Amino acid sequence: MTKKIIMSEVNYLILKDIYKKLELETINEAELTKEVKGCYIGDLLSNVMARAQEGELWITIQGHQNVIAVALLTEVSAVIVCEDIEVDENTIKRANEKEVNVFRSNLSAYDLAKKLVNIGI
Amino acid sequence: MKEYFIDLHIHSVLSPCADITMTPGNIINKAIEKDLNIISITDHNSNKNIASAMKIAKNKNIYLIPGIEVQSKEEIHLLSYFSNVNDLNKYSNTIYNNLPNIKNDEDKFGYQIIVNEKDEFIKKEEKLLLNSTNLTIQNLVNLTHKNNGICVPSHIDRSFGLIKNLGFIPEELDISFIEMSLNKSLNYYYETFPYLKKYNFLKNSDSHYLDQIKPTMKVCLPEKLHFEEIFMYFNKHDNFDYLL
Repeated sequence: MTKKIIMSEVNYLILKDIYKKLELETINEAELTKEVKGCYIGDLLSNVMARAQEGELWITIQGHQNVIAVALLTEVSAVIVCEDIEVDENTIKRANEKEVNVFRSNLSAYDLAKKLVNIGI
Repeated sequence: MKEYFIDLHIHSVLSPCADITMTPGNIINKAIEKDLNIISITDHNSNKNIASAMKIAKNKNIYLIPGIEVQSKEEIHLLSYFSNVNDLNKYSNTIYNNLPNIKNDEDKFGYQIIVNEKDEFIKKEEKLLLNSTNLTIQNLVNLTHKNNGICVPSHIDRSFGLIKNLGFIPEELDISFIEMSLNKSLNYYYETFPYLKKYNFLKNSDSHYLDQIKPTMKVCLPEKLHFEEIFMYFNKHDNFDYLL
């Protein structure tokens, strides 16, 4: 007898689920059906460029517009600016043009990471 | 034309991380001893030793460019150079007003000493200078230009460097000079970051101790020195050379 794979049993989370569960503030909304494959935390963008992986959530305190270029380059599913750090106007504009998901949270990177672990990331 | 030896990044005793012997007078004497002709003193987020330093340099055989090294909101260090103290002062006042009001802890960070024109310690800067201003790199570049200065991101691939912190130089940033790290060569940058070829590279000592002061660049310039002209010759000129 062949085993039937039921789609709902496949364990992956999309951005929409996470966005709700983490109570994130939307800075720029693009594609919310992207699969979230993990998480990377970092603020030195040269390091993020080298280390962040496609599909991961990227948590940072950088609000500079280079964040958007790095998000595009690494193909992360979304950027979460933590600790309610101000996001530059140019960053928001660029995120809108390039269709990059950018959210904000008042939590620290550590607290966000704990929540992500709890929901299965 | 005459050959000039240059180093445009030296910290005085006002910078808490600099050695206590780094008074403007000592810096100028050491620079002359090392055959330097053009130098700049660039303290962290403050200009308060430059007026005295200019007076000390006046009677000596050295050309001192008024300068400052400011830390942006993104934690990036940017050098700014001006043709005169007035322009530097205008820039520095805005910087000072945008520095958080946190008192310096001498035990943790070091002394922030202001000297007079006789090179004597007169007072201490109370506000911690080792901090980020509330101004973005774009703000700082614009503000430098507004005061007729030249803005140069410091040691781009080291700590507090533009490439290290922000990954790359934002294309729309209106700068034409960048500072390389002391232990690297122009070829290294051209090979690693080919897009940097359009910039002019400075190499400076970033001295925090007297024995670190040394010529880092050499260039042939007209006998009578003008601020803008000095920068015109950097890097993209036959008579220009790095010395380390």
